[in-house]
Amino acid sequence: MRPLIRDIRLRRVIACVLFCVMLAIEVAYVGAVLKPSRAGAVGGAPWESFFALRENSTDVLVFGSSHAFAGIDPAFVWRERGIPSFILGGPTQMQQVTEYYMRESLRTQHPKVIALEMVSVSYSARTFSPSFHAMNVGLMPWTTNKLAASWLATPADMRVNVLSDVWAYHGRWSDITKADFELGRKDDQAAYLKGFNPTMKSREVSSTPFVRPQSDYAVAESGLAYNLDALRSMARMCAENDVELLLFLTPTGPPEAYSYYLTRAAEEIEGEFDNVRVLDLSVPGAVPGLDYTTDFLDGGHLNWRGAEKASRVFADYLAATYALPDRRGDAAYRSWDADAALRDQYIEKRGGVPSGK
Amino acid sequence: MQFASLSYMLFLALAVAVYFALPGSRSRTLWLLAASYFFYATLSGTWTLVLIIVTTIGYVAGRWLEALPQDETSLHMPRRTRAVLGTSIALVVAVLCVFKYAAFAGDVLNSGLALFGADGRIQLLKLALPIGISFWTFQTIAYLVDVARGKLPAERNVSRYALFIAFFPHVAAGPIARGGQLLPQLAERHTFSFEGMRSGLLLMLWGFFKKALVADRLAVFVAAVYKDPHAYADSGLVLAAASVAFAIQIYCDFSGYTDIARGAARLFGIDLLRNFNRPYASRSIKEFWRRWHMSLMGWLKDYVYIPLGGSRVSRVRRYANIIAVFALSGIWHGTGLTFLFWGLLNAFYQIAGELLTPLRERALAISHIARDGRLHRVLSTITTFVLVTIGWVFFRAETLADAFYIVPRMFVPTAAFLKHLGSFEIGLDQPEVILTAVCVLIVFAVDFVSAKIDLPTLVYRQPVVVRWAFYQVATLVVLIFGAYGPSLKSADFVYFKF
Repeated sequence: MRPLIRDIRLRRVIACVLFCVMLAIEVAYVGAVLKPSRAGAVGGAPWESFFALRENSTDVLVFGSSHAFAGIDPAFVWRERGIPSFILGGPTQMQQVTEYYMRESLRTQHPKVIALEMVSVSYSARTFSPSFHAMNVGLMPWTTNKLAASWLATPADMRVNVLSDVWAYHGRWSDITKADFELGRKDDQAAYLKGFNPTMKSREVSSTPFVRPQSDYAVAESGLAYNLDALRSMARMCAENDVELLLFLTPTGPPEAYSYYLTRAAEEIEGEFDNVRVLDLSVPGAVPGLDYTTDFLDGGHLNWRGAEKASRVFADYLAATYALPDRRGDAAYRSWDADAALRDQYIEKRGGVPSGK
Repeated sequence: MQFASLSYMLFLALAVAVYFALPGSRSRTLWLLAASYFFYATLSGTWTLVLIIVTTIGYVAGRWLEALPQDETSLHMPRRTRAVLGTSIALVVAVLCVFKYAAFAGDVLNSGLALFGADGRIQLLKLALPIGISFWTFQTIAYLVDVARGKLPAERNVSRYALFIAFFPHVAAGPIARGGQLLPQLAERHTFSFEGMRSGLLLMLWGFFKKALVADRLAVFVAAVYKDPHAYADSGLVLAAASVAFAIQIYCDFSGYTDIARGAARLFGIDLLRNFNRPYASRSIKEFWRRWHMSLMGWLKDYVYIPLGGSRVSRVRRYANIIAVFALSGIWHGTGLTFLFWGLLNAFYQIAGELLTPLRERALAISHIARDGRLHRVLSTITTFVLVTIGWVFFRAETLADAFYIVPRMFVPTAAFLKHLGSFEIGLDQPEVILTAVCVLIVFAVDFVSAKIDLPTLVYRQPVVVRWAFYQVATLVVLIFGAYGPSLKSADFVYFKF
C-alpha cells in the first residue's frame, strides 16, 4: 500500500507534531488529575469564584498569607456591616506574588479598600516554601500577571516550572484517589465562603507577652528591604486606582509576634502615600473576647470562632474609617445573604455554632 | 537551570531549533556559545567570568605552544615548550586551587596549628565554587598537553575553542572531552537528523529515569541515615542498606546526568564521550575503574599515570604511580580527607588485588572453582561490589570518624532493620520504597540486557504504535513518579560540586 504522504520528511514532521500534541494533551490531563481538589475550603485563592462575582461589586478586597484567609470571614463581615468583601490569599504568600494578585483582581473589581494582611512583610528566604509558592502562582488565571509572577516573583531555579501543574503536584501520585479523576468537581465548590478557610480545630496558645529573639530582627531587616519594594508598588497601585490601602494583622499567638514588622513597614512608607492606614489586631485587647485557649487553630492562625471575633472588629473599623455603605437590603446583593446562610450551614455541619444563631 | 526542569527543556528546544535554522557553521558556533554561556550564567552567575578566564588562558597558551619550534628528532619536549606548558597548566590549576582548595588548606593549616597549641586562626579565601570547574580545568590541561605534544593542532577559531570548553551539555559535570574528539565535531556543519533527535531524546529520557526515579529518591534515604549514623547503632543493616543505596544512587545520579548530557549533545549532532559501561558488573576493582567515570579515568591514565612511567617501571614505582593517580582522583572529587582516603583505599584495593593474585589462584585450585565458571563470575562481581561500596562509605560520610563508625557495623545484622524500614526515619513512605525498588531492578535489568542486546535499536524496530506508546508512557512515568520540583527538593546532581 502506498503511503498517503509520499515525502518522508513531511511525514516525519507531521508525525512529530502529532506526537507532541498527543503528549501535551496527556501531560495536561495528568496535571489536572494530580492537582489537588479545590472543592471545599482548602486554602489558596479561589480565583474561579472571584471571577464569578459581578464586576465592581466588592467594596473590600483582602490579600495576604494564610493569616488572611484563616482570620477574616467575609460572610461575617457582610452580616455585621453589609460590606461585600472577598479574600484572595495564599499560604506563605510572598508580597511579590500578592502584588500580581492585586493587579489581576483590579481587572474586574474596583474596591474602595484593599486590606493587606502583613505577616508576609516578615518573610525571607528562611520562610520560603517552594510548594506553596508553586501553588500560589499556579492557581492564578492564565494572564500576563501569572506569567510575570512566574518569572519576576519566582526564584531562578523555579522560574517557568511553576506554570506546570505536573511539576508542581506530581508528588501527589501516591495520594491519588478516584475523586481526583472527576475533574469537573475539583473546582471551588464553596464560593459562598468568598476565600475564607474556616477551620474547626482549636489549640491553646501562649498569652504571655511575646519577646522577639534578637536573631529575628536581622532576618527582618534583610527581608524587609526586598518586601518593602513590593509594598511600595502595591501602595502606588492602590493610589493610582483611587483605592485606600489598609495594612493589618489578624490576632496571632503569641500576641504581637508580627507587630514589629507591621510597624517597621508602616514607618518606611509613611509620608510617601496618604492612602495608607494601619490596623493591628494582634495586640492583646484589640479583639474583645478573644480567647487564647479556644480561638486558635495553631500557634499562629485563628480558627472559625476566632475569625468571627476578629472579623467583627475588622468590619467595624472598615465601616467607621472608610464610611463604607451598608449594602444589606440592596437587591443587587441579595445573593450575599444566601451565601452567608450557606456559610452558617458549613460551620454547623462541622459542629460549630455560628454567632447569632 | 537544572537539567531536570521544564525551563531546561524549553531552553534546549529553543537552542536546537535556532541552531538548525541558522545557515552557516560560524553562526551556529556563535549561537551555541551564547546559549552555553547563558546556561552557565544561570548556574554560576558572576563566576562565569572564571570560566572565561580559564578559556582565555587555554586559547592563548594553545596558540603559543603551537607557534613554538618543535624538535622532531627528540622524544622530549623542547625546553621552551615545557616552560610555556608548565606555566599555563600552573595558571589554570592555580585558579582551581583558589576556588576549590584554599578554604580546605586553611582548615588543615588551622587544625595543624591547633595541635601545637596555637590560638590564632588563619583566614583563607572561602569562595563559592564555579560549577564544573574541576571538569573544564582538566579538559583545558588535556588540550594544552595534546597541543604541546604535537598530537593536536591548536584551535584557531576562538569561539569554537570557547564552545569546546563551555558547551552546555558538558560544562557542569562532564564528560571530560578531548580536543581531538570534540573540536572536529564542533567544526562540522551538522544536518538535522531525525534519527539523531530520536536517539538523543531517548537517551535523555533514560537519564531522567535514573536521576529522578532512582537517584533522587535514594538520596533522601541515604541523607537521613548518613546525617546521623550513630542513631542507627542498633541496626547495622540500616547502615549497610544506606551504603548500598548510595552506591546505586551515585551510579544512577552520575550516569543519569551523563546520559542527559550526551543525549542533549546528540540533538546537535555531537557525540560526547561515554562515561559508564555497566560498572557494577565488574569482576575486579581494576575492571571497575575501566568502566566507571571513563572520561576521568582515561584522563588520569593519559596525563598522569603514563607520564609517570605507567607500567613500564619497577613494581614499587608502579605502585607509587597507582597511589598518585588515585590520590589525585580523590582530591579532584572533593576537598575533605574522606575523599583523599577514598582515593587511597581504591589504590590499596588495586595493589592488594595484584599482590594477592597467586593466593587467589591457589584458593581457586583447591576449591575446584573454575576461573571462567559462573560461580567465580558471581563471587568476584559480588566481592567487587562490596569493596566498592565500602569505598563509597568514605566518599559519602561527613567525616572520616563517621565512615570508620559505619564500615564495621554494616556487617553486623540486627532485627532492628525492620523497625526503621517501616517508619518515616528513612525519609521515604512505603509506596516510594516499593517504587524505588522496582526502578532499581529496571536499571540493573537494562544494564544486564544491554550487554547482549542493543535496546534502542530494539525499540526503533517496533511498529509505530508500540514505539509511540513506549515513548509517551515512559515520559509520563518520569514526569509523574520522578522526585523533582517543589514536592521534593531535587537534590543537585552529586557531581555538580566537583
